[in-house]
Amino acid sequence: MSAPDVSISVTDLRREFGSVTALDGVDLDVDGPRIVGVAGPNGAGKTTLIRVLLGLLSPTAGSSRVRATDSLSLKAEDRERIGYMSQDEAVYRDLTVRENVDFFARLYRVADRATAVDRAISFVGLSDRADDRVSDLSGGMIRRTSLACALVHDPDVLILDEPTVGLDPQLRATMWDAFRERRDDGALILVSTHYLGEATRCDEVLFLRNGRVLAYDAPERFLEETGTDDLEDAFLALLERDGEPPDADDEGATEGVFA
Amino acid sequence: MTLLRGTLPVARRVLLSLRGDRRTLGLVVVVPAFIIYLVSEVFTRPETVAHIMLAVFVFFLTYILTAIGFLRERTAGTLERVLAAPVSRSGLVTGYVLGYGLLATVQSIVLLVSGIYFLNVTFEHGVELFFLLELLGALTALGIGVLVSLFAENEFQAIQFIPLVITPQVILGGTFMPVEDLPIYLEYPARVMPVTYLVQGMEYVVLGRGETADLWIALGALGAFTVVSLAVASVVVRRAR
Repeated sequence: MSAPDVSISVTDLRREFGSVTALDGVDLDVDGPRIVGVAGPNGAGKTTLIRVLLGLLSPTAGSSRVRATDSLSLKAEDRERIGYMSQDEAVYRDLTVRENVDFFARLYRVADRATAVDRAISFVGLSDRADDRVSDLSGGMIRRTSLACALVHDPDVLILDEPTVGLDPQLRATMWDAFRERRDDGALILVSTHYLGEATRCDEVLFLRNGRVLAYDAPERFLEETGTDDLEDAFLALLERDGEPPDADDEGATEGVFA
Repeated sequence: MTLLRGTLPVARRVLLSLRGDRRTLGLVVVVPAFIIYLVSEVFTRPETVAHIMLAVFVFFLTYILTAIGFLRERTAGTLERVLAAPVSRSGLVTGYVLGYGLLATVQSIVLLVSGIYFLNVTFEHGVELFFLLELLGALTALGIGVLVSLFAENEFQAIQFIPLVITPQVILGGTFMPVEDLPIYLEYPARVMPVTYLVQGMEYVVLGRGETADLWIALGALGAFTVVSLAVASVVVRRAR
């Protein structure tokens, strides 16, 4: 069996919402198993990029392709190989953890469903809460349920929008281990985050700011290039190099969120 | 097959969600029986209003359940997630139709039984036609519910749409006054409201009032409303915006 196509390609992508430009000419080419971080402050365009990739938003101009298929014409066979975890809760509160994961397993027509569902639930460490209703769970557990729903069909391309928000550090570390495991099994993982500390865990990082690509490289290269010790400083250095002093929003973001 | 992909999982999920929500289940099953009982206690000749109760109830409740159910899907982000999955839009809408259609059927049975028990309703033209009307009414309400949920930001607003979307239909739709006796500027709006045909159909089926042609017109109109509102619903849930 040949290796599955795990590629994402974005060409001169623009998306406007009324007078707001969320994406302003984004280019990105990724092919092969790796973890790609999409980092940037709130409002940088991370979620818009992800939604365009999944064909949930149509671009104002430019195009995006996942597994070499245009996002707007992804077929069921393509979608079967893609996993998505959104920033929203995106699970059914009236259902149990198992029922939620099972629902997505059915949607994706997973073979040997019971095993796959059990595996996904134990993967996120919720086996002992599997039959609890989601509305009875803590915020972190709900996020993990959501991740299990995104993983149950064992996708080749995994697109995660801020998956670790609201999780404690230990759990976050576990999740990153899980992502690396997936990558080593051949998956391409695109993960957005506004914690720059997390971006160091990626193989490559796409820095977005105001809908534009500030830089795209391996985290260590960023540090080398800017002569800094962490990605936060690297980000600020890149902003300066870009000729744009960090504005008030970024300051707030660096202190509060990027910390 | 690909056209209806996702139908069964979605229908199953709709029903599981209802099962997980005991209060809604109570609303669906117990409340109609209770209200029919109240009507039977208040009206000296309840058979004159029975067909209207039967017509409006399922319509009203299906509207509320789908409007709020779909709104929750939108606001919780599950709708987007389902659309990112290998599911066709028509499959998604058909899943809703099956799930809520089954619920409407259960509710119709509750209404039927309590109508017979409390209101001594007899069906001049058979129970099968009653079910057919209820189901068509419910599917129309489902389409309207999905559509309205798009214009509502939260559950409160979805409820706020009731006076706008449901109440005029109930007032004008032949409930208090025959549609043909309405002033002309109200008669025409009433002629394009689903509840009008629901009441007209029930008049024939329950009371034996009117001609067979009236029933056919009612069924045809409700069928058309169903098709149009489900088609609109499928467009509304389109994947990319």
